[in-house]
Amino acid sequence: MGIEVSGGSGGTSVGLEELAAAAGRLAAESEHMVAIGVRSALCAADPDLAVGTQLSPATGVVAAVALARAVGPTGIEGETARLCGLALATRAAVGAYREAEASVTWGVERAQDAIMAELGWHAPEILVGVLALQALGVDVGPLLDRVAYRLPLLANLGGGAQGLVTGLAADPLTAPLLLPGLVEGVAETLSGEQDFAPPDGDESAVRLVAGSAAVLGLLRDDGAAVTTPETSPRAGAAAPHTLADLARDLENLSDAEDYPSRVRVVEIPQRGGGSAWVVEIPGTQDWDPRAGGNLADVTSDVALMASRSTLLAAAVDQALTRAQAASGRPDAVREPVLLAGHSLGGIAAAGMASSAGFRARHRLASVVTMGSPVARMPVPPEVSVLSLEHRQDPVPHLDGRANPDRRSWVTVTRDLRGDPDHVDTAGGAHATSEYAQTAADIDRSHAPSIEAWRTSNHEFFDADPDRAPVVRDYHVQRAHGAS
Amino acid sequence: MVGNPEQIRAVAARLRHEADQLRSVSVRVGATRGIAWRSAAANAFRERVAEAVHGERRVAQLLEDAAAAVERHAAAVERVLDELARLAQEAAGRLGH
Repeated sequence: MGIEVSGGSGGTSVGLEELAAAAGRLAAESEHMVAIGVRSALCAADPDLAVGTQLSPATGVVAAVALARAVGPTGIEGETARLCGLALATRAAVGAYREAEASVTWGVERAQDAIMAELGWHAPEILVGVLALQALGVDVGPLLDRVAYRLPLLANLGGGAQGLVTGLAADPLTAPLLLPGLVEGVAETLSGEQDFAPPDGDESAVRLVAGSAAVLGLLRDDGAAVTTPETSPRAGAAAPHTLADLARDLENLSDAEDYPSRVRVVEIPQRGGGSAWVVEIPGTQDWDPRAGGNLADVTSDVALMASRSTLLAAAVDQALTRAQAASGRPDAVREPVLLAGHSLGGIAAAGMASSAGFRARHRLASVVTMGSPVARMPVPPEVSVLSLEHRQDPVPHLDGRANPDRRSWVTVTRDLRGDPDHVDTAGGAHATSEYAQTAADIDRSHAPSIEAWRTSNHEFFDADPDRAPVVRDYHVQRAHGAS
Repeated sequence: MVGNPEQIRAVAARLRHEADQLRSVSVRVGATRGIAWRSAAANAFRERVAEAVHGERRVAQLLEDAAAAVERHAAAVERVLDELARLAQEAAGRLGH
């Protein structure tokens, strides 16, 4: 079905900016036309012309009629009014579009909260229903996987976390579960233990749920990040020349069975000297809510969605710092960095891009996410973001909001219907192999936003042919009991 | 002297200058069609701008036409004034004899 490109230099937001600027230029030109009209009207009222008409009435009347036609409503007066009207109408349309978008966003978020509040209120009954279905022999997991594939926008309800908490708190059976998180949240706020401030209430709600789980011994992202360099990168690891290469390299890194909890740092030598750095972060590999050693786990997922600083981000930061130190060049810390990740890896990448601390330590230029819910991440406009999403993949919709539409943020959405290769489940739509195909489609695209992204990110894909890139893998782990 | 053909020609020159000014405006207005955005709204905007450019060029031509009419009028006035001068000269000659 092909790809759809939004945001970036060819996106709506930039388009509206261009349109507003064009309306301004038209308004200025209409003022010039007013001046031309006034000067031309003064010509028509010239006393020599009037006296001349008494001397030669026939030619005088012809000249007067020609002047009236050029200066009056059928001439410059009418055209000035038209241009002025076009400038005003364009400005009004741009304003109306922006207001309508803000209003729709507000309405959708309120609807998400309302539905999720109902879900929270009925959580015990839903749980009983799921258990009953399983008791009757219905395999609920694959069923949900297929439902999520058919209705991926259901995941948008994830953006109603605030409503969910309201619903859970309203139910006498579930309300006590939230109290510990509430206490922990207050303590955390008082201690100022935050890397970046949450932009709205949904992150606070996720944090509250995570805090409650932590008291039960679940989703605890505590301890210390330990980063150990591998003696050599995994077989098949390679510096990317294209976006598809990058996606395939992420696939190579995302082997939860044989190569778990690794991140990769690729040093790309530049023609003019120095290097660019590509950091790759895998998706979720461990779904156990009891946090273990693997940092690519659901605990990191929840912590990142709650806008908390994570051990995974700390480990990635350590890996990049160690790789730059290993290059033996002190200037390496000031060289451009691209963070790329699939699913959890993309959330981590966008989370790190949102951290002023990380940006102060590294020259972060670019982020690439694949199948990641990152719309709510406050990534600053100076960092380029390319987000790959599949229409049938529910994961990028979990934050319940469309990605920002701006010059530096391009979102590419691929509809998987009609693709003979893919598995028609939500899991299949979320697979890194599927995102590698989308990346290949993007490599072939000439959409203006894609072309602009390619130009501004060429240094990460265009190594000096005389110097070999260096791939470094790191084993990253959560060490409990250390800090 | 009011009704001076040279003054009337100066009016025609000013009208031609305004026509040039208007053509310059139309070029700058036309340049706003160059926005890169591809969308129905952007396409509608480009169409409206194209109509405006067409209208401005049409009016520039109307100003040129008016300038030409004013020049013809100046020539006619000049002929009338020449004729009047000739008649006055003849009358003065007769009176002199």
